[in-house]
Amino acid sequence: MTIGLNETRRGFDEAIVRDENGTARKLTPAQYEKLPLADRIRLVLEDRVAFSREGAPVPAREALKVSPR
Amino acid sequence: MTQPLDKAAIAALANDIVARTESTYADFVQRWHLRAERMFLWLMVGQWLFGILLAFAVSPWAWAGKTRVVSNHVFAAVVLGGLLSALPIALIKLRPGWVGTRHVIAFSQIMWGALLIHLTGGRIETHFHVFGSLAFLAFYRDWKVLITATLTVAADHFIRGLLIPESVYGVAEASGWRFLEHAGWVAFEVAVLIYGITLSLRELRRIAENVAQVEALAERETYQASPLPALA
Repeated sequence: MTIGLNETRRGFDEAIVRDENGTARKLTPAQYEKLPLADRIRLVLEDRVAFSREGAPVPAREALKVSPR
Repeated sequence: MTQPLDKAAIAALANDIVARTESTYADFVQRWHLRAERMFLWLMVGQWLFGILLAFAVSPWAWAGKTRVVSNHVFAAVVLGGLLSALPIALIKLRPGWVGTRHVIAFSQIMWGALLIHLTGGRIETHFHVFGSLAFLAFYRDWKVLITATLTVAADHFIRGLLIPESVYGVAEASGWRFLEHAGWVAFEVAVLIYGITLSLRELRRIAENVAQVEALAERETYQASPLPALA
């Protein structure tokens, strides 16, 4: 795993999180990143989070990818 | 045939990845520490040689005026400088990455500034060595190291300012409070450096956590193709 310190651009500008009771919440990247890591991993694994950038859906792998500025 | 992950398997996988992420993050930080120590190893040697050169070339003029006399400054540079460099070098070799090693380096690096200032007769320009040293210490990305450095600067200037003001300010008499002005400028730089360190660490953690989530997706695919007994 290679991670460069300059690779910090976010791949999404909105995350829609579906709670276990089915309620959907729109979160900004900062709000999403404030969730505990274990919860975020569970959301991703259970397909309960959808990412979008400028209104267009973005696959989780793409949204979370660490890309150059 | 793909196998869906049940709740228990997801929880186990999530916990495993969180633990690995913490370990990866700690490894990154530790590598920064080791890289900084490698730099200080050479810096300590270089400063010692530079200090001896300064004691021969500059100190006699700086302290004795027009008469060039090789004095006990050479002794100070060789012995005190040697001691200041020897302990950090020994710790870098014997205890690399240890928290005590970097605090000893911070203390020694600042005391090197003090020695160079003394060797140049309290020349004000030599005080820039202290500010450069703070920037070097920031390579550790450990704010606590900068606190050690700040306290060392303040204590050194306070004590020498009272006992031998010419050694630190280049004047025979100085206010006992002058050290506060110097310590204040140091604190100003340290505050900015700590802010930068905090941002840098936050970014590193964010990157590590994003990578962890992508790894979780990859591992889910692997698991679904061939479930592991421990998670099944």
